Amino acid sequence: MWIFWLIAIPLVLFALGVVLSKNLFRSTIYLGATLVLTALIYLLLHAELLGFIQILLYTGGVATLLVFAIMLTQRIVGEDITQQSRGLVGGAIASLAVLLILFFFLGSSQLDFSVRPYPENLNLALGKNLFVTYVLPFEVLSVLLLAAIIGAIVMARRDR
Amino acid sequence: MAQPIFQTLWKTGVVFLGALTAAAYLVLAERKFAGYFQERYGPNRVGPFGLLQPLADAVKLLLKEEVIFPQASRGLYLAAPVIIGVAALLPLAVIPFSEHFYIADLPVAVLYLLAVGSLSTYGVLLGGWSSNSKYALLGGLRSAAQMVSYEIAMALALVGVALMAQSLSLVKIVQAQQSLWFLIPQILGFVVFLIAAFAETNRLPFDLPEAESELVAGYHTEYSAFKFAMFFVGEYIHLFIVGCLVTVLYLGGWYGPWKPGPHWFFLKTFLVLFFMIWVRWTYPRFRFDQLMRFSWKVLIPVALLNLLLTSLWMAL
Amino acid sequence: MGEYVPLGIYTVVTVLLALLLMGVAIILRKRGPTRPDKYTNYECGELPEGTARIRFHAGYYLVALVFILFDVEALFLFPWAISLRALGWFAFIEMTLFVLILFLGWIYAYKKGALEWM
Repeated sequence: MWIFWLIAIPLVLFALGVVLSKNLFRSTIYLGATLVLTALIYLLLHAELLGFIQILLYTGGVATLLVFAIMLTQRIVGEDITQQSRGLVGGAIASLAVLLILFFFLGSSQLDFSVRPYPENLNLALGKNLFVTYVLPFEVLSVLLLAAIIGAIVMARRDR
Repeated sequence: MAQPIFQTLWKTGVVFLGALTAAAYLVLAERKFAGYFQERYGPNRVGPFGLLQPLADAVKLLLKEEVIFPQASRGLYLAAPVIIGVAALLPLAVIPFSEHFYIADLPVAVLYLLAVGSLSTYGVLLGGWSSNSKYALLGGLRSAAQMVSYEIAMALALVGVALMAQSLSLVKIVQAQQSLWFLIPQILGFVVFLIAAFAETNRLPFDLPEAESELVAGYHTEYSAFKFAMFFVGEYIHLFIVGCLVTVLYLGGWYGPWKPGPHWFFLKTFLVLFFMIWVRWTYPRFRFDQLMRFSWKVLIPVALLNLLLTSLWMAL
Repeated sequence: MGEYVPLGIYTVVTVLLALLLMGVAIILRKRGPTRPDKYTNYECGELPEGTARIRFHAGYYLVALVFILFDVEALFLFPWAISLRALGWFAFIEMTLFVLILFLGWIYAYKKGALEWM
């Protein structure tokens, strides 16, 4: 349990850093740290595949993408773009409300919160779920990714 | 509980000492070989054959003046070398040096390696940006773009290995090679992996991030003293790890013609590293557009073809 | 999950080692009078001109975007690869279809010159 707090407290601090930092680049860096720490929480919940994929995709990919995006937009208007987190109060109230709702529903639901036993053959269990049970969503996903690739190229080319 | 913890600490100590020594002597080996390739001696003043040179370098780097630029973003500027150093050492935790000597045999070790690799992209970006210097920033962004482009080719090559071994654990991958090294059935994947490895370690012919003639030293231009040493040592530990990985993934790890053991592992790793040093001092540098085009237009299709062939073979 | 305890210990020791080395370097470093012009960024011996935070080319952004999409594809391949033997032909055909659809994206990117640098 103490490991959870060891991860969770810096996680919340970094998340606050993302929102409160004036500098967009710093925000991105804090976001990366937040995502790595979230991945560690996944590991604590025995979701190792998800945890590593999270680090790989989000810190390696998304954080890099954001940095490039910042570099691309920098100085278009003649000065560094700073983040003005307007409506801090409203945001704080909204997130508190979400937190309370979450507490309320999780408290009243009949969900089983115990960490599931590790499947005997994780790879097989995962493969079966992904490629047999949920085969249709999986294939639809490829079309979605295709659309995303084409969309990305169209948008980026217009930008040139 | 106390017993395994003690054992882990002991192994961690051995791995650290080994990796740092390996990195230090890789630097010397590189300089020595470079010397011979260019018909000169290389370092030969400190100790016999220059064998104490790494020690002298380490002491020098430790005692250097600490320069932190007022323009740099101090916190992030100091964090970058730490992240690089940590990210360089982390992959060693899953490498099986012999059948029994490894720190952890993760069931998803291959993904762990890729994930940790992406952490170093992070450190490079951080170092480049926080120095607030043009060369560093250009080098950092270039480096990130390059690492990201070759990561896909590398991941696709790794899928081929996972297909053959039906596992992502490095120990199981080596065990699957007892009778036949993956080098032979995965020859396409091997070539893709090796080329991507050159790019991921930022070495010639793909050392664009620190192309001296245009970028001074790339993302660590503004780092000096021990902060620079972290980048430098990290680079050579990374190189050592690539040598280990090629051995584990394609050359049968600790297996040899007779009597399996760590000696085979280190022999093969040394040969791979020698090859990488040889290439570095033989080939000129690619241009950046050639480098990017090569990954996206050649390596990725080849890796996909390799996957198709391998999975056809496995599904049969 | 037994393998994560050694991994955790290793990670903690790694971080401590990196911090320790940095700390030792800070204690041992040379102090004393120094030249103020050491404390400027390197710019071929000239005084640095303007800021380093310049605008970068859109090519970087495009590369990162295409990377993420192909990375997602590659990540789906891993669980597939290790269960292919057990799942057989069905999984093979399924993944071939998946990769082929994404390969269309690659062809599109190729045709539009998105894989060209600059």
